[in-house]
Amino acid sequence: MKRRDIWIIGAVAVLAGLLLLLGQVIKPAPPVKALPTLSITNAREPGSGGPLEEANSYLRIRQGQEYYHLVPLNGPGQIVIRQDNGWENVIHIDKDSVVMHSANCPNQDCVNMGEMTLSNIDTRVFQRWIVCLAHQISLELMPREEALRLMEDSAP
Amino acid sequence: MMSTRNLALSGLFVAIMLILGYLEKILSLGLGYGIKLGLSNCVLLLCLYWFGTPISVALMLAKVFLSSILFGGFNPISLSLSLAGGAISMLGMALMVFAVREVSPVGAGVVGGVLHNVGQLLVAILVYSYPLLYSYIALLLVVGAVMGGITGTIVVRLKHFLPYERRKQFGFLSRKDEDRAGA
Repeated sequence: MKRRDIWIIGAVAVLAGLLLLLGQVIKPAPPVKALPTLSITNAREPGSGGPLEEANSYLRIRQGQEYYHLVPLNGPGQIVIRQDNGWENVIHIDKDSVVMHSANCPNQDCVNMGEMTLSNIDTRVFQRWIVCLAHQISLELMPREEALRLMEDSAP
Repeated sequence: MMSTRNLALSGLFVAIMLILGYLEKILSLGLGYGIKLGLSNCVLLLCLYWFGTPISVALMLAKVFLSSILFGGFNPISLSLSLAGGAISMLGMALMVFAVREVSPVGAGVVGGVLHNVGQLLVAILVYSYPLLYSYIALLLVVGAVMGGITGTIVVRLKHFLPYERRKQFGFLSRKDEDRAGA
């Protein structure tokens, strides 16, 4: 190892530390708007754009640049997202929790991200997200207040 | 014009990279969180010292495309991320090896590992709207640096396989080489 190697390693360590601090200080900005345009096959009906079904937390699903309805997390259920090209993600939901049960993506990162609950989103590396990058699907967990605000903001 | 020997070596290196990538996949050496060990990066780093930048870039492209076709279902999103990671990592390592110099393979490996992860994530955030998670970026930085350090150390162990001219160019000559030169 040469002296510049040490500098490089030191710089990376400092940068990582700063980002960790930044992650603690800056919380993700609240989402801007919901565009319920795509359809999903769902054991439970997602919110129909009317008043939000009662729940402590909601799941916002996004594919590409499009958002689905907010899904209330008030009991067990399954959401299947099938895309025209054969990509499929199966999401299991329960009261205040969600997990990517299976996906036919090559890397399975989303399945390995584990269960996301209202109580573990502050300690998870991925915070309130489960992302299937290969299928461009992201799941965002949000508490009721935020979901209500979102509905207000996106009301016509 | 590439010599037959270098052409054969290049093919061998691509094969080794593909095998390492495949082994990581089937042995689930991925650490979760979408983090891969990136063992094949040590082959690319060795190639940089051995063949220089243009051939190493070609080998990187071959590795990225072939592993996407063979193991990645040719998923366009994963492919574009691999390309971005490979390109920015190659750029960083080439700069360390040929422009900054005074950096050992360990430093070049650290830069390569870190830039590979950060490059991928930047493209994911900018192009595919991946959420901006600072703690995840920090984790990727640390893992990239550790794995880059390991791959760099492997290259240090392998440097005596480099042709004499290349060892001389990069100051990798051993005592045996110097004895032979002095004789």
